Amino acid sequence: MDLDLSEFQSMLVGSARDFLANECPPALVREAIEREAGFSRALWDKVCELGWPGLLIDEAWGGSGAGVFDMLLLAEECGRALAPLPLVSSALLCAPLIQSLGSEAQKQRWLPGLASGATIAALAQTEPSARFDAEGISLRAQRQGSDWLLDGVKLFVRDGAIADLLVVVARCDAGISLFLVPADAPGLVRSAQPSIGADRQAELRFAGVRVGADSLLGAAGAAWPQVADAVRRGTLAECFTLAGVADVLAARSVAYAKERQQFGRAIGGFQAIAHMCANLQIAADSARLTSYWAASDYLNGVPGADASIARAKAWTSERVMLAACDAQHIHAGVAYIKLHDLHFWYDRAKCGELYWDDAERQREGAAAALLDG
Amino acid sequence: MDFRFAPEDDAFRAELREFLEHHWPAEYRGGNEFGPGYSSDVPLREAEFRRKLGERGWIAINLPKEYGGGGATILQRLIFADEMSYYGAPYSNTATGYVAPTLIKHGSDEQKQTFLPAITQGAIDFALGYTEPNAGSDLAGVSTRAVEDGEGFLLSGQKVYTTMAHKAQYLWCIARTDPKAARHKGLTIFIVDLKAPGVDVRPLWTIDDGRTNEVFLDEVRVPRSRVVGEVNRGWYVVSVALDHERFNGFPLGNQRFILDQLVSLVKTESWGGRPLREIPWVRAGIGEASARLQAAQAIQYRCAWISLKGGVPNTEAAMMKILASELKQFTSHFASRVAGLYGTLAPGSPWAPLGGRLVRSVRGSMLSRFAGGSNEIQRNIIAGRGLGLPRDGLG
Repeated sequence: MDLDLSEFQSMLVGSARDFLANECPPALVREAIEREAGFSRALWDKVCELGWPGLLIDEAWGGSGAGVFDMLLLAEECGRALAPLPLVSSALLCAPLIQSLGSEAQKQRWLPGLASGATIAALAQTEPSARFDAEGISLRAQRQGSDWLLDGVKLFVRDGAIADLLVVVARCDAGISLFLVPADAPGLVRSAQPSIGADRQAELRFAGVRVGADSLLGAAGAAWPQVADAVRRGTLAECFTLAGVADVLAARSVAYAKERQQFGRAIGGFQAIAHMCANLQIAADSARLTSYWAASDYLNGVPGADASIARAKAWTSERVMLAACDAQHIHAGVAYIKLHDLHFWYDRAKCGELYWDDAERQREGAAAALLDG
Repeated sequence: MDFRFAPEDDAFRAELREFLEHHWPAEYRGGNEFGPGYSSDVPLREAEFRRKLGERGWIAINLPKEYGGGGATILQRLIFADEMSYYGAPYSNTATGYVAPTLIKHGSDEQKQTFLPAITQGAIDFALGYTEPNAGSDLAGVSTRAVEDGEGFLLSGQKVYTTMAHKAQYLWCIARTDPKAARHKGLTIFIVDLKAPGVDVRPLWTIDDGRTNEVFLDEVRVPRSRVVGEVNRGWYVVSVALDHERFNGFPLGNQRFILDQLVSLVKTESWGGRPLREIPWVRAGIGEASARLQAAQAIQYRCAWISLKGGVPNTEAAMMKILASELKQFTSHFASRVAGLYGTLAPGSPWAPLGGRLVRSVRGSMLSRFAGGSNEIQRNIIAGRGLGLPRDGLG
């Protein structure tokens, strides 16, 4: 057992927190959400200089070859700051898929750009079926000569509105396959979808999109295990993000409870409010620890890691959302006004609660591990 | 970041489980001392079990070897408490986990020589004499008086919910030595011989068929050598002792046991011609219980880790206590709802599922919310000590 962060991780977290505190203040978040559809290109350029997009990419391709847990910690920090960035999509979901499945030519073509951040990738998995399992995939891929034709609709695609490259999960005769599709491919129409989490979601309509054989990532029909693994990473990243969100909800509520005076005293001196603050901190700490545990199980190949992730997501989804409600309640009217920043964290909590399956659905996964074995 | 136990810790857990399977078999588990089904061989079984524990050197597993303890690591102590709790094995943490560490820190040489070997051999046990009818969460409000008299003190007053007092040899008792001093400052810790003249232990039966006690003290003579730490510095000794209690005071093994039992019930029983395992709300409840367990365990491991690094888990222990007690209440009541009408049947009915354990656990689950510092006190600790909110209204 070792529940401390490594020296490198402590340094990474410390520098990321300082950096985001300076470079991603709430005013920038507001600007990005209200005027830039949830993406700050200026901030992205700065994190590219820090090397965040290439954290999981091998040094040979311009990355730094760090570990998944390191990236999850960055997700937590981005959740804290509500950084309007496609970091998880591009660096944690897509880059490892290309690195593990890609041909030399594909790696050569895409990894250096992903590592530098010049290229932004999004995982185009979900569809109107609104589910994260293989059954949810119906977008068709059909061979035509040496090319492939893609037909279907992707929806809820995070960062799909801004990505340069789409890693598309499709169904061909052999099963689930992955395709690397440039966002400007002819026949592909994308439309940004406003979302409560400002997570740059898009609808992607594929009408006979023709891609070459060099777009097929990995073997035809054999991609599901890698997609499922990306779902695990995405779910964990959401848990970490929510832990970061919860920490801010707690800290801001405590600060407000100390400052706001009613009946001649700080409202944090009333037990009703003090206990709500205590519950907020419990939500934040338990969300973080249970997510760290699930990540430890996943990364160490512990049997039952999927159930551990399901339990962590069930817990964080529900508890962080409740915490966000309590935080809004403690701030009351002042944070009900749009000028106040708190609702950005409330909104992010809701988005994170629902994305990668909410508590209701994750509880089913946790139960299945115990009852259906 | 690694939540896995080391191979030697896993091996220790396996050894302990095997020991418990053998020496505290299923038919002994989940029973209560004096409830229906109580038989006179229970004390004999417990004594025999204790002897077996002693043979392995596990009675005072947490204490340093130099004091005759098992010298176990913090993680092994966590595993020990967890598995003992899972198996419902008879074990009191009071003497070994609470009194002994405090004596090592604050006791006189004579007290250490007198009490520590007896504790580590399992020859003596202690009951905690803190709570009084008018001093519960507000412990500094105790009114038991200790008046100096010659070479010692005369103690008079009443303690309540003094669990173990009918089995233990000694009472670890807080009493007021200076009624004029500020509330926290006039208190002293005494070791009171429960067989001394003037001590009267009377049973109080709990709603889940357990026994606790009230202890009446009527001019009980306690020699000066039985004062722990300094006179009027008892609050300080208590605070240190409470930190010891926090570390392993709420083992989660019992929660794992209840969940395992519930899972086995759900996997085998049906309702309305439908297997319970196929009913969505049943599955949701099982999933929720397992998620809550993981969250409580994660914080428990964090507490152990802080201790291992030489710290004292304060707010973390408070969080863990809250989550553990809420989990217990959730799981107990959910299990009884799964059982439906069968959930009404109490021990004694041959129809009662899990030998009537459901009814007992519905009743018993209340205890953890208020015992060991009520959940409100725990939230006060988090809010005041942890978050720095104004403490004047937080007790």
